[in-house]
Amino acid sequence: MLFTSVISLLGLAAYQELITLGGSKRSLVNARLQKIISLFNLTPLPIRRYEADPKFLLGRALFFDPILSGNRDISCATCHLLKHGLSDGLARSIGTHGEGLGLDRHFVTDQQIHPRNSLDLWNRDNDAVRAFFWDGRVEVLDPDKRIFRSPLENALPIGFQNAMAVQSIFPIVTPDEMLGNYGEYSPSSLPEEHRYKLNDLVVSKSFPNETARIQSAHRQILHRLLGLDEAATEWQIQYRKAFQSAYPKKTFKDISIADLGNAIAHFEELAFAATDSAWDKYLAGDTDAITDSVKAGAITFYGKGRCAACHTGALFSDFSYHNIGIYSTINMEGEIVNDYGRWFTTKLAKDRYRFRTPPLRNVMKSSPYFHDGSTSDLESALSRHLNPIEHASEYLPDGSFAMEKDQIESISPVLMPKINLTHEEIGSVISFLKALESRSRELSQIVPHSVPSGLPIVYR
Amino acid sequence: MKAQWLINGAYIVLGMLLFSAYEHGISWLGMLVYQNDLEGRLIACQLATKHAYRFANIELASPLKEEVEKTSIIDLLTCDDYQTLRNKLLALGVSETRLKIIEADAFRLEPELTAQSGEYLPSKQSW
Repeated sequence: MLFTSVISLLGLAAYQELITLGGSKRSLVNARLQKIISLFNLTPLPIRRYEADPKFLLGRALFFDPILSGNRDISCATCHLLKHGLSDGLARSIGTHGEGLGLDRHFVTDQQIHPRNSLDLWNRDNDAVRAFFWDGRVEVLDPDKRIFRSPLENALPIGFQNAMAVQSIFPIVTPDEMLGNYGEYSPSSLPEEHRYKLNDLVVSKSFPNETARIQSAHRQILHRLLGLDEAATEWQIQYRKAFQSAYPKKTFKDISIADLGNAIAHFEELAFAATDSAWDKYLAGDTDAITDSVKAGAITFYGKGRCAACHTGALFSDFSYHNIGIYSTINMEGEIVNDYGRWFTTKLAKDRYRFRTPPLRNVMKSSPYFHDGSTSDLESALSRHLNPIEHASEYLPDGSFAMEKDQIESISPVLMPKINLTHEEIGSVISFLKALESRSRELSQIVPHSVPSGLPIVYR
Repeated sequence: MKAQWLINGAYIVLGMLLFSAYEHGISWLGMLVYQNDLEGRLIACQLATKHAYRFANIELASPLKEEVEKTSIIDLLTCDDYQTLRNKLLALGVSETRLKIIEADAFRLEPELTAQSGEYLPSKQSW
């Protein structure tokens, strides 16, 4: 009896010692997360107050109204769908001359596809945002003095409140996005007032330079929206009123393209604020907001995975430019053509193949991924980061090494040496990325019932 | 009386034997349960150290360099995990020699730790 008791006690002691030997995993994980929060200075995103003020209502109308497009057949909203995380679900976007939404979108005539994947719009008013577009062609140079770099260079009008407002005036003057081309007509399927209308936003086949072309298109957009003189259509009068409500100190004749951009940006700031993710709740002190898998994923994300080297800050982007070995894109003829990314903006050799780090909030919804939309799921997207050279050869049908030598040599050293993550670690990082998903505003708060022009809103 | 002494002596001897068996058994059990974990933590620590050293010696622009350094700091915490487990195994009676043999074998499990230096080195371009 005594012998049995002694043996039992020893067994219990051994069990106790062995269990405590590995340490309490949960307390270790929590301690590590606290270290990460402190080291990376992580705080939850502040919650934006939703207020449907006159500027919001004007911005909303402009965002959803196809009247801003040359052929009156596409709005900003077409390529920024809530259902697809404010992207469009396509590898590369289909601009004017398209029909349908999301994965159903297709060209109604033979047109050139936009070469890049549509970027989301979450939280772009955040101070961390310093650049827009994959190649950063709109950048913040001095946020306090509101100095921006853009394709208009020194000709950028004054009065923009932030870079988001500057960004919003460029897709409307890009031919394969919203502008269309000289001599085109709007589709026959539109309401009578808008069908078979000449694309009056492009007044000439050629312009002396790019700045002149953009400025002309901007003038024409304001002209179309507000009318030139006292004579105006009913919907133009509605827009005049909307602008005057949003900018009480201005008459419709004083309205500038900056005012239009500011209104769109104001709408986007309030409508597309992602703030209540499980990760934000955890950062706010709710330790039960995330699962053990998410916690493990966060540790890998900020540590071994080196993800946070570039996907850093409140929006998980450094808004800087990196070559991560995404080879190129494929044109309509199926040819592989190089997309030099940042180089198109700077013309510096070192910027070839570099693209702006995409933010990661709501990333689960915004597939496909990368500038060419060449990866449809997050696991594959992660894998391409782990060993960029290995995946470069996957592009060509014959299996040959597709990446050019100078691209290989300029792959970000952050990804070299390759990152060894186990299948379990990749799964936990994906869990962490899922925890960045936010509830968006209700569709009823975002989508108007109609727009002043009377053109149809297609957005569900 | 003498018989009682003998019985007590036998209990003491039995106790000593049990204690000795416990001490040996617990270190044996510890290694049985935690050897893989120890190897994993060692490899993770060695890789973290190797990468941290490499990034410390690559010319990276600010703020990328600072951000990479932060990820290295977090990654290097795996070395704390490894050292903690190692110390506990030593405290349980696992010999230093045995741990070193296991550690030497563990290096062979990770190809990157046995790769020639210079392999996968990035270009000298400034970042």
